[in-house]
This record gives sequence, C-alpha cells and structure tokens, in this order.
Amino acid sequence: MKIEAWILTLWIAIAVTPSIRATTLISMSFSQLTQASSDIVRAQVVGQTSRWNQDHTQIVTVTTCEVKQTLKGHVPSSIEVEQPGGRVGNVGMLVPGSASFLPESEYVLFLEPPAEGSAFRLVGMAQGAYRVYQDALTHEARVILPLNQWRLRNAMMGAGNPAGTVPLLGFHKYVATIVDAGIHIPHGLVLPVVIVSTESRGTGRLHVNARTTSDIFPNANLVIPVGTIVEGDADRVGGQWEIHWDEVNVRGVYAEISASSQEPAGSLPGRSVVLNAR
Amino acid sequence: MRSGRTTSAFPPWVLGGASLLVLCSAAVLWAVSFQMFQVDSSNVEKVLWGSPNITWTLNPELPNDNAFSAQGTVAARDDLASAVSAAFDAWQSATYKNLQVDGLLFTETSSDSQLAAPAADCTNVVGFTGALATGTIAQTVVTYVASDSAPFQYGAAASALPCASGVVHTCPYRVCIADADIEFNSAAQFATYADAPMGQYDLQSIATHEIGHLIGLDHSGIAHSVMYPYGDLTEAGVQRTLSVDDEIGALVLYPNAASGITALASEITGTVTVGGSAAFAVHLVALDPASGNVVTDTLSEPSGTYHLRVFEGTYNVLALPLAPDLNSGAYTIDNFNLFACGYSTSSSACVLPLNAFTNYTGQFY
Repeated sequence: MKIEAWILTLWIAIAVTPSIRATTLISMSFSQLTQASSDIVRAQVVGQTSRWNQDHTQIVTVTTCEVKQTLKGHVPSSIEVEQPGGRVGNVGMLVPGSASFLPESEYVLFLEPPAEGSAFRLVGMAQGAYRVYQDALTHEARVILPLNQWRLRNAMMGAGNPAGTVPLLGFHKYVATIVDAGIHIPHGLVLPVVIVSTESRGTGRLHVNARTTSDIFPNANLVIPVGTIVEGDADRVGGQWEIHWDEVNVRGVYAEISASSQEPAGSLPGRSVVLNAR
Repeated sequence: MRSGRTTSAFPPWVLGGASLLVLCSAAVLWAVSFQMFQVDSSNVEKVLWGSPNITWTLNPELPNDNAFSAQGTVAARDDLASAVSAAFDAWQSATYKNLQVDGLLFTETSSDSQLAAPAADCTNVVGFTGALATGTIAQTVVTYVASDSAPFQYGAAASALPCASGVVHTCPYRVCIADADIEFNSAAQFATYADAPMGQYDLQSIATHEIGHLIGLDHSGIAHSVMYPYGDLTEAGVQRTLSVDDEIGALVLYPNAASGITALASEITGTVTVGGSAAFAVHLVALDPASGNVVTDTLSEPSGTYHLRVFEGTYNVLALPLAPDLNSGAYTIDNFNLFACGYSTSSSACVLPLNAFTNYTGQFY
C-alpha cells in the first residue's frame, strides 16, 4: 500500500509537456488550476473510505481531510473529497487519472464543487493534489511540483533554482498572487452560454443570468469552466432584445466582459447564445 | 556524465557493468512503457477480461450537442457509433510482428433504454456525461471482480457482482474485468471529422485511448503512444492508430501464442545501494546504447532492487536520484537536464550534449 501510494503520489507530482495525443486529461496550468478551483486548501488526510453510491451502481472513494489553511474560498474545518473508484469487498473500480492519497499526509488541494452531494472534487483529477512533505534536514514544509512545471518553479523560487520542490510558504504566496490578479477576459473570447433566468428591471428591461455550456480554455493562463455565470442586461428594442453582457463569475471571482447579442422578443430562459467578447 | 551543480545527496550513476546488462542477440529495441492495471502492489495480477469477446453499446441518450460531424453540425448517433466502432477496431486488430492479439472481439449491441454509466452491471456503455472534473476529456471506469481462487463465477444475483442481465460469467483468473464504461465529457467539444477546428477533440482518438483502459491498460509514459494520458488545449489531438507500445500492451494482456511476446519476460534486474544501504525509489532508466534513446524505466523498491522489463538486447542503465535529500520524494529538474531525452516524439536523442527536459511519467509499481 505504501509503495503504491508513494508512487501514485509521484504520479501526481509528475506532469508532462503539452503534446497532441489521444488523451483523457487536459494538462492544466497552475493559473488554470487556481481559477477552476472554488476552494484551495492545505489539508491533512485523516481518513478514507470506499463505498457504493446510493444506487449501488458505482464505487466512490471519499477522503476526509482536516483543513489547515484556506488559500481560496471558504470551507469548513473538515472536508470530504470524493473520487470515483475504489474497492469494496471483492469488487473494485479503477479510474485512471485519479489521485491517490497517503494516509496522514498533507496536500494542497485544488477543489471544485461537486456535481451533486457535498463532497468536493479535485480539479483536473490527480492534477489538483500537490503533496506537502517536511524536509528531513531543515524541517521545512515543502510542496512537490510536477516535473514539467519548471517555469512554475522559477516563478516561485527564481530562475536557476534546481529544486523540484518549493517551500510551502512560497507556494502559498504564489497562489495568492494568482488569486489577487483576478481574471481578465481576452478580446475575441467566444463563450457559448444558455440563459437560465431573467429578472425584471422595469418596463422593457431585464437582468439576464446565463451559464456557460462547455469548458473553455482560451489560453494557457485562463479557463472558463462549464457552468460559469455570465450576467448582463437586456433592453427591448423594437421586436428584439438587445443584451449587453458585462460580468463573468468564475468560481466566485468576478471579471468584466464586454459583449452584446440580439435575441428575438419573447421569453429568454432556455435560449442558447454565443457571446463574442470585445 | 553530468556537468554543473550537484544538488543530490547521491549522484547519478551509469551502470555499465555486465552484471547489470542483459546481453542478448536480439537487435530490435522498442520503447515499452505500457502499464497494466494492478489491483494492489503486493499481488501483481493482470486485470483483464476473462473472455475477450466484449460487447458494447452507445447510450441511447446520444447524440450530444458538443460533438460535431462537420463544422457547426451536431454529430448524429451513427457518426458517433462509427467513430467509436473504428476505435474498437484498432485494438481488435492490434498486431505485433504481423501477429494479431488473441481473440479480442468487440461487438456493438443496441439498447432501447437509457443506461446508467458508469454502472457495475456488466453492460459496457459508451456515452457522455456532465459529471466529470474540470480538465477531464473522457473517463473510463473499469469494474473488476476478484476472488481468492480461480476459476470463479460472477454475475448471478447472489454473487459479488450481479450482472443486470443475470448472465453468469466464469473468470478463469483471480481477477477479471466485468464491466467498463466510457464517458466523454459533455463539457468538452468533440469532432468526428478531419481538420476539426482547435478546441475540438478527435472523438475517435479519445475513444481509442479509453478503449485501451477498457481492455486493461493504464496510462503509458511514452508520449507518442495512444495510452499517453495528457492532451493539449490548443490543438485537436488526432491519434487513431496504435503505437508499438500500445500494441505490445494489448499483446501482453491477450497474448497470441505465436507472437513471441514472451520475449518481454526479459528483464534487467539489480540492486541499488548508497553507502551499503538499499536505495529506495531510485529512478532506473534503460537506454539504447546505439541511439541513446530511452527504452523504459522504473523505480527501485524499498529493498533497492529493480526490474526493467525489456526486449532482449543490450542496454545502458542509468540510476538517477529521485530526491535531493532522500526523503522528499521529488525529482529535481536539474537531475534530468542531462538525461531528459528520447521520451517524447519531439525530444532529442540521449547523446551528449543533452539539453531536453523529460516529459516522461515513468513506469511505477
């Protein structure tokens, strides 16, 4: 168990340079991991259990973690991270790409809200877990970085630093830097959305709420996850709605967007719209 | 061998001694890095199908609005079925030295009702889901059933894994795959046609990768293999045909008696010590001495022993430090600067001067 977990943790630590291949995972940049996370925490594994889901169709493994520090978002002191797969009795489910956690070990976890239930999911599967260890000589807490993230290492530590690990403190600061930098929607970004609701703002005027319908990775530093909230105001002009989109909420971080679209008059919820950011 | 700083408590070695080399006559060297699923580290069992006659069905909920058969045209169910079927064919016809895998036979079946996926019901479903984590293009959930003895049966209502159909299956091994469901992320965009725009993944390529999992293969560290796990965001990936690494993986799981695949039983083995003590998690890399290309690699066990599975041939073996202080469990990039070569399709061969970074994820047991 220990070897396997150790090695799988290494798998977590190892990432790859971009390549154009048949895949299961998108190799996410650190910025993308941060943006796609509703919550980022340093947490210690305190328990793990595998069980069948309610419908007895799938085995899931729930890892319970004690939160030591919150780097983004707001989470309780104890959280659960759910991943598909695990073993119950003589039946097991294997899901390649899942993270394996070492008992009692600490991780920095990049979390996203669950599709259902209360347990978090890891952003990017195993990519969303960075193991923290204590250096035997200096007793300093350090974070293991993926192999290909030497640019990340340089950003955190300065160019030329050879370590494949960085001090936890530096890691935290770097996360904070990315969070503080906010999100900037690039010109020309195409966002497919579906309008989910409207609120009246007076005669012939509506506030419009929409959600994105696919994961958008416009560049190496940005991700707009599916379900991201996009808001705007619609004005009735003649026989159509003129909608001016002005705000995007990516996992709790607001960003400005400037886009407009026209829709025929009538009820807006349920309509699919493609936004082109100016 | 290395220049510049030395940050490791123990330096890399080049193990060139005859005791650590397999000196055989075969000249052909392939990069072999496929991984088989492993139930646990202390009990190495292949996880494969008891019967290689495998049926699959497309979830009737298809098509999906994010899969396209032409620019702006949502793919019809037949388009999707055709792409997935072609992906199955790639594995069914996997060959090594002109010999085909033994008996892998995939058959599409139809279903009238929507099927839950993934579900451990002995029905192999290919479908779309919106429940995958951000950054996931597709996912395969492989359900296996295990027993202390072989053969054993499953599928009956009272068995460890009841099948929805009630059909009883016999597993000739101690572990058998009983169900495998493939889910494409409905939040990603897919294409079934050539020259799709950036941002759309080639559905057949992704299906080919996922079917590799379905038959029992895990991810490979070889960048040009279908079973390589990661993709890129800026370009659609198209790799519909198997690499040698993939084909050998399939043949190891489902060997053709005439394939000569038993040559894979060859291995380089030895023990790594530092100051007389066993060195755990040392990264061992086998290199083709002629080209300098990486053939395969592994990590040493807690006892310091290692096993590099290779074809018969002559190799150089590098032992590289995994961590700067023997406890942290991390490679240093600096450790790789000289040896990060030959792993990807674009990296340079391992001849001096070496300057490419590795993107290899390794063979880890």
